[in-house]
Amino acid sequence: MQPATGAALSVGSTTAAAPRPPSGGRRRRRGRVPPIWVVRLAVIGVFLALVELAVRMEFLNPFFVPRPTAVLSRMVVILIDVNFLKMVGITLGETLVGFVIAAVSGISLGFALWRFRPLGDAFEPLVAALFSSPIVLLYPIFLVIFGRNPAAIIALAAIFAVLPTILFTKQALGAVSATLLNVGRSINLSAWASLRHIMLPAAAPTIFTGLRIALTYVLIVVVAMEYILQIGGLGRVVAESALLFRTTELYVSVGLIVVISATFIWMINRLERLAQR
Amino acid sequence: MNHVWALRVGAVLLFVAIWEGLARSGLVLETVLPPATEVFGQLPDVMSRPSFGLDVYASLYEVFLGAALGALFGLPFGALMGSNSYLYRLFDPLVYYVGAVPKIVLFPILILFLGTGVESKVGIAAISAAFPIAVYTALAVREVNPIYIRAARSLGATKTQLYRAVYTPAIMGPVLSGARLGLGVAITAALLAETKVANVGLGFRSIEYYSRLQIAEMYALLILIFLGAALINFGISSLIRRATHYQQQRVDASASVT
Repeated sequence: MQPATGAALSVGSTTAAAPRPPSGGRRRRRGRVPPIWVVRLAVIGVFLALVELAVRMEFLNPFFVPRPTAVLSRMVVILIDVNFLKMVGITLGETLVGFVIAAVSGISLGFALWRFRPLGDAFEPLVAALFSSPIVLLYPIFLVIFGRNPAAIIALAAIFAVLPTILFTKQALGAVSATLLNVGRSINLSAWASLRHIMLPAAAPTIFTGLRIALTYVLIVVVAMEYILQIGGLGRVVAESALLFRTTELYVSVGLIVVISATFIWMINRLERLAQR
Repeated sequence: MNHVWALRVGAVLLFVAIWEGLARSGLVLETVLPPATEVFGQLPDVMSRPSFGLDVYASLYEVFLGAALGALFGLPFGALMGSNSYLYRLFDPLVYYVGAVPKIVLFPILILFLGTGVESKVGIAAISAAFPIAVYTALAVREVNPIYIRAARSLGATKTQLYRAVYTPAIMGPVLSGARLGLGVAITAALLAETKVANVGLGFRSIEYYSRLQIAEMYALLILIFLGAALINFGISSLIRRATHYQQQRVDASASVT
């Protein structure tokens, strides 16, 4: 079974030249079309301008929707605020710890499932099933065990993110071509050398994809749980501004979470592409 | 096959035995880990409470209505995105990056609009479900084999026929997978939101048990939630298998050729 959620996230911006229907699009080559990111920004800009207009003309209640210009200018101010940057730091710190735990244990477990065939046959479907189950809803258990503190968040995020890491590691190792291994055997490579020089390089790209997905999930779970539990960094900012009924602050913090997690995921994708070279 | 099941059953038994042993040994507090037997003993009790039926009803309502609303937006948007490669290139990164943001942080905004009742959970479930559904639909439409379309055209298919007899069956499989995924995230989103602000629902009840320190009841309820989610997932999966049996036959046929 393919890890379905992973596939959804790994879709990414791999806009390969797919076969296109013959009609349409021929015009595009000839005329001068602005770069796609300009159009993308323009789409966002037009949307925000429409919201701005709707709020100013009071189609939208300003109590529910603040003016986008007010939100954006406030976002810029907060983005360089030291206290806010501390919050970002807390979130990223928790994310990093959770990710390292998930990566180390996930790769080891994935290796074990690959190395010991019966274990893999028995438990890979179980891992896949857990991956599509609502693990996050188990957070009260983590509260009971760890208390209401960042350790509970990190543990929950790590347990969720370890699942794609296991699945991708096992699949990556299982997909190494038998020919390569046979070549290694014919030149009498030791088991260790074969692992080091054949298995790892061949499996690395797929493992990196698993790690990217794991890192994305750790970030999602960390921010979500920070919001739910109202502890830690970015998520707590949202929870607190919601509690104080400061609408502008609420939109600002939600907007910043969108910007920061998008930037973070963009950097992960770049990193993955660099690593896979 | 037999030793696979032996390993699985063995692992579950070992897990429960360690759980029971750890809880009975007195090494961990009763309030952290009640014995397995006590948790399983609470199952009928939790299910027979008068509030249980209402909680199940509220949660199912939020999840299914939310996922349906998410599909109502996600399907046409995904189809539009997939049908035109410029639109796809334009929106793919936007959908991808916004899709990877924890949607639960939008919950307070939804509370502003929809209040603290079930409506705001329906909303958060809909937003969460719309993304995977849109992504899967877009990909499915993009990857319809152009040979099918050319073949249908050369046989003189009208536009309507093309949509009904070529596109719909070709995208059915991936679209349903997207719907399954959407339903999965809708469950998480709705119940997670319930644990934050709600007065009814399974998520609300689990955090209620936690705050009243009824830990055994909490564990029992979480087991029930997991079983319910697995049951829904299994149901949809077998529905998908039935709805797309022609695609599996095709795979089987091509596999037997090679």
